[in-house]
Amino acid sequence: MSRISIGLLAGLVLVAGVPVAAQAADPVGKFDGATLSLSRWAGDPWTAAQVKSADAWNAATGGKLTVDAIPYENLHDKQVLEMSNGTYDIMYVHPSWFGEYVSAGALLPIDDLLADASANPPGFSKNDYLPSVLSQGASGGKQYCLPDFVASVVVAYRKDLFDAAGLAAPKTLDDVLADAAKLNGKDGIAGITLPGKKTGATADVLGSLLTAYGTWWYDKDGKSSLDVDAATKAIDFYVKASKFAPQGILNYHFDEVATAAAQGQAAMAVSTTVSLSWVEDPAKSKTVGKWAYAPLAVTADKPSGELIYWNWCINAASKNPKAAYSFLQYWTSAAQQGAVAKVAATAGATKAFYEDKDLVASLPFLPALQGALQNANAQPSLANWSKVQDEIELAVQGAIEGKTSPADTAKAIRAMLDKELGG
Amino acid sequence: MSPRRASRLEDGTLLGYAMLAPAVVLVGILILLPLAYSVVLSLYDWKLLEMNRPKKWTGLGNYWKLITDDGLHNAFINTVIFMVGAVTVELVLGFIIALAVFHMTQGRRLANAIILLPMVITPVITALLWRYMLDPQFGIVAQVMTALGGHGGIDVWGSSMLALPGLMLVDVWQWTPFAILILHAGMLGISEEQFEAAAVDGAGYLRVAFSIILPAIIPQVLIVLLFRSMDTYRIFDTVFVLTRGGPGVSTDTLGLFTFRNGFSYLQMGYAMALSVFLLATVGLISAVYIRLLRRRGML
Repeated sequence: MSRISIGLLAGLVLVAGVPVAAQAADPVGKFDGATLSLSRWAGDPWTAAQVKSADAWNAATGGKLTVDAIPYENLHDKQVLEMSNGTYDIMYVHPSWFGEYVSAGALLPIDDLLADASANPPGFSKNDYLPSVLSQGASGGKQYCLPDFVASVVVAYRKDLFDAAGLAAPKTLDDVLADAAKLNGKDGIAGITLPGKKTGATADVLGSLLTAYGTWWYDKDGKSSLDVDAATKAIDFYVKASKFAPQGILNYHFDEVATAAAQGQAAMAVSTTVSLSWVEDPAKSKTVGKWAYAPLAVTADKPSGELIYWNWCINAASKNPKAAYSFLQYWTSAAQQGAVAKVAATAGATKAFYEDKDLVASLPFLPALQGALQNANAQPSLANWSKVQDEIELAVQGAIEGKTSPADTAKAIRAMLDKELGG
Repeated sequence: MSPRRASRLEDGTLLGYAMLAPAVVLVGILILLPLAYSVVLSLYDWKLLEMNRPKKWTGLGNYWKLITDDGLHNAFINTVIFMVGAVTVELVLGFIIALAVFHMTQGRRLANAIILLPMVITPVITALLWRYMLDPQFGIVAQVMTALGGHGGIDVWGSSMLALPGLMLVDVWQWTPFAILILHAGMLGISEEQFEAAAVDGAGYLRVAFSIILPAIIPQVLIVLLFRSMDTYRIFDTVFVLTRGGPGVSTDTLGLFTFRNGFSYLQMGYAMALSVFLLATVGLISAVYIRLLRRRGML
């Protein structure tokens, strides 16, 4: 997979007056008596929203779709175990699992269904999706999945603390470090918080930093291509930022980062737009309304990030593929994603999502997200990425703990990538 | 019919074997067959997601990888440290507390009930409990330390140095009651005459504890060692919930290492070899204790 520019995403929002693509909000098809099971991670408001959508889909189609939501940390294992017996018809597939699922023949190609007029709303085509995001669910010339949950890694900063200290909004990574140093320890608050746990979060943040510094794990052929000098700078940022972070970040996933920020434990937070929605949730946050967001950038004119997304895929062993596709199409529509976005700080993957001016205006995180996605690489989806990601995060933890220097860490990661991906 | 056969028939031996046979067959099917199949699978290179593709024969390749795998060496060392550390503390603490309960004249039942509470909580919940109790920002320990004028909590789960001792602490908290229960039961079996004789001889508290009680409950000590050694050697759930083997590989254990190779990296052949290794080594540990128990006529 090559470097992906997602300027299109930002551009779409600026396209005024373009007629919104016709995409009916109602599910397509009748599936009386068909019973389906959907596998996803557990977490509200997403799960609750999806259960609601499943109920609506059931009522409209006569099918019976149940949602099996389990913790993210166990989702991959459960899906792998249940894959071949057809327990799940629809699976929420993380990018890092997509490659291995496809190579195992576990996912059903949906090109025919995408092109079937009887399976889609009037006027619908695959072109309704953002091409750069839709392509993440394709492999070997076949489309397997439909995307949703568009997000990226950004910096959130406390406006009140910045104003009180006379600091301007951070525009570059150097600004972030300088501001973190100045604010660290004031009133017992850490300068910045960011994840350091081996759960994928650390790789996501480092991936975003790598993109900002102009390199990526691999080239368009999937071969190791990491520039060691650029990676050294990215890891150096990680290590320096961690010096101003609260204790315990080596056990911090995005959830813990967002919790620390929401509870007023840090002046800045590097995390996903999704998890940062917590800081604006009065039920979870003591710091509602005090935050602003900015993309990561080495130079102010080149904001960068990582395209974070999830894929909705149909199990190759599903006995109801057409019904499963009907729900996929329904759930990833602009109408459904728009409803979720307002409460979950995610964005959809259809063009119509960004053409809804009222919707866009109601999403405060969107400018930073769009900035980040102007220069973004998508989360890796190679067949053996799970193991590679583990090794990357292990190396970064070693650098944060001071066991290895950023330069040696970058070299070690490059050597590991050469071995696992081929150089 | 030979006299010997007639004798077996008469004394019911054959009937006994016949009645036992279904259970033996059942155990064979449910335990020995899967075990044998696991050993066979450990000789192949195959991925979990590739169930329908031919498995590649590697012979002892997975076992050679096992010998040369630094990750496994680290997990093995962590596991042994965890086992020796946790079981030793549990045994010593268990003996001290069991002794205290044994000498209680009032409230012994209540004390036993309270002591056993940690054991009835599922390990996953116990792990979550400790995760949040020791959270350096929000945990109750941090709050108390701050209230006492300190600077917040100690970063146990995010520290390579402290995470493994932290896991031992959780295990000790949950399973010392098991040691107390077994040792206390052993103490209750000591005859009163021994204590009376000691009192006549003027033996003090410590002398009674170490010269009468401890030697008398050695079989119970061995039972505690047997069960807790096996359990701690196979530790998985607590580590999975609390640290997932991190930071770095500081808390990676054999159970977690096997799980990761099987269900994260999907290398099932290698995971099977690791399982066989785990089974063989835990069998070895058990054999030592069982031999000691046999010597004492306990088995």
